[in-house]
Amino acid sequence: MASPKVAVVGAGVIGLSTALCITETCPSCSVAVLSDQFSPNTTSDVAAGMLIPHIYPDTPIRRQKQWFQETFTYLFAICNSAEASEAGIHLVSGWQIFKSPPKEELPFWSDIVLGFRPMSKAELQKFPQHRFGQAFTTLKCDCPSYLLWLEKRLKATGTQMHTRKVADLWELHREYDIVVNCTGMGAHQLVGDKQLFPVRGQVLKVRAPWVTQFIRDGDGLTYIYPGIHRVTLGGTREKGSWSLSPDAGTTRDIFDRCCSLEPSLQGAQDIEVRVGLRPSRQCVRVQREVLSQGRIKLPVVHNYGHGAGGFSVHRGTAKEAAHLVEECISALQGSSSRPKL
Amino acid sequence: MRVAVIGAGVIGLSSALCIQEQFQSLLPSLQLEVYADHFTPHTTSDGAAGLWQPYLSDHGNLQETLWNKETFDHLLGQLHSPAAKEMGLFLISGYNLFREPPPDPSWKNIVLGFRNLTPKELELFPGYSHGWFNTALMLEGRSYLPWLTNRLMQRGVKFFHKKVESFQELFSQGVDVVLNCSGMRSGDLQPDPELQPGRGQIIRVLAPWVKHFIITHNLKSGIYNSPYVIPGSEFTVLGGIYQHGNWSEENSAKDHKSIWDSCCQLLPALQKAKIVGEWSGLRPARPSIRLERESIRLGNLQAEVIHNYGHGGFGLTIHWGCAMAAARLLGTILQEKKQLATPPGPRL
Repeated sequence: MASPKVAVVGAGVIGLSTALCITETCPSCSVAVLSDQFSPNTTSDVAAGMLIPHIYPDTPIRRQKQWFQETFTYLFAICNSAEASEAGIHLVSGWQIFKSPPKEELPFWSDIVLGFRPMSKAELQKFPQHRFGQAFTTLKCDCPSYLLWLEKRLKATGTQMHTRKVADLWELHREYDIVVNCTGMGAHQLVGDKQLFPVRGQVLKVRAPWVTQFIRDGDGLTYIYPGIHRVTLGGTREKGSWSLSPDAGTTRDIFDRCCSLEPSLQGAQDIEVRVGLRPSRQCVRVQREVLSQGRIKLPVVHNYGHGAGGFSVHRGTAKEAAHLVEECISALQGSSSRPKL
Repeated sequence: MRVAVIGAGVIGLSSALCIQEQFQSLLPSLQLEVYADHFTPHTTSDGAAGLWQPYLSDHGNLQETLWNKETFDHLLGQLHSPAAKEMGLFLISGYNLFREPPPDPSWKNIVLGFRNLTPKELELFPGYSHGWFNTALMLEGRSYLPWLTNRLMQRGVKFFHKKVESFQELFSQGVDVVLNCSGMRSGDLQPDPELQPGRGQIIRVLAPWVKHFIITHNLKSGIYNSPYVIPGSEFTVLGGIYQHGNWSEENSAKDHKSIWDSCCQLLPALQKAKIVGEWSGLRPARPSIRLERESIRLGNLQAEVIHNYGHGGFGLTIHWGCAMAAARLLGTILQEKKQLATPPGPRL
């Protein structure tokens, strides 16, 4: 197969990074990204993009750690380069704080982030209602910069971007040899995955340039993540809610919770409210599948269900998905010529 | 009882506020006045980036380390107050980098979370073999000075826009005590060969992705002669110039290039940063701060001057400890003049 045609469906951080990995591992592939939404209207654009892993209950920890390590290493190199500002990648230091002792003193990612250590008593004085804390430095992928940078790199490789709503993966079998499904929450409808469920998150994006430190409450519900131009204040975790409309009461509640951790936020300006549905699953689905109708086969690689941890593991899962695409190509080349209608 | 402060930088204004807070209620006849030829945003304090960080060593001057600590603790206590934003006060973390093992600084237990850098962190800074990470404070002069000014005005302190030519000039007008907070130009009021300019130049850029301060050190060339990057609330300051004895306040093209090249080498992404300003200022450098009383005989009058100048590149860092010390000196003077029963406030 001279030039396999690969369609990546989805243009969030997973779709774009997977497409980029495919162009890297398979330079002879012709890659196209198909999506009904592009930045700044993807779920990824709502997220703060902080590299703090989310735990997937059914994925082995070793694999999650590898995904996080790969992602951190990749972004660390960008952060150190002249491209850092264009890519929207920057370091940020801060604290994760707990009211009661954390389940794990040393999370699996503590040796991957920088300078991880318990907070001192003096540092904890800033948070009178919390008794324990962890200080560290991690990376942040600021959207939309990061997605736009991925798009730019993809276009440089000749990857085409198409605004298109794909109602059924099968509709792509004529134009493409392999389909990569990075549709996030869309996979619920697109491939009928009932194990995928939304966890609604509402956030505020505010102007508060004096906030340089991140603060995350260990329960994961309240957080303050300073980005390049705006600080993301969060949030909510509403399992099963599909609503994309901002809720005014929730806005007030998020603001109050964040101000209680960082009183200077009272002076924040220019509050923007956003909502995203975390495409949640007990384990991320990075998997090959072959769809068939009669004698026609369509290889599919799935890469979705990253829930709250998309940015943290995106590069690691993209690389795995790209390897699965390579396997699909080998399988296609191994088999006799594929009948095309 | 007229007390005149000469100088409206961070030292003059904070000394005035400290005095006002401690003595106004005890001494209703107290009239505070501030005289200066430059006010915010045209003072040295306005040009400084505003990072709280003393020099690496206090050279055994424990007094100054205590004043630094007093200032840090005072500011930390204000961090959660509604005034913090208006004051230009916020927390910031960052890096100090070295090419050889440095001795521990005098301030390691004052700042928050002080620790050595891990090998992984040092990968961020090729060429540097050792370093520290800690969380400190920013106090931006461009916000802090107006905040101090407003509070002083609200409390009835009078401001005079004029260049004072001599202490005599004020005493002959009926001022009882003068606070000399004239920074770099104290020598115009009373010669002091120990006071020398430590000229600095900075470039202001827009680089909002930089969330940490980065101060590099070259132990052989001395403080601030090595690149530094300090992010503020409106722009990021690039610097690395300290020229002892240079009185020029003009921006130098050679210094610009040196700052730009060295900072871009430190943080390659800065090449894309937009330059929005440039400034040169004179750090009022002295082997130690002059903070003391001086009695001057004028005819048959004994005039009192409290000197509070020579804070070099750490004025914002040490200002509150010095203001409190200056206020204590005033307390002693007031007691001697039988204006007060005993000086108020904590004793050192």
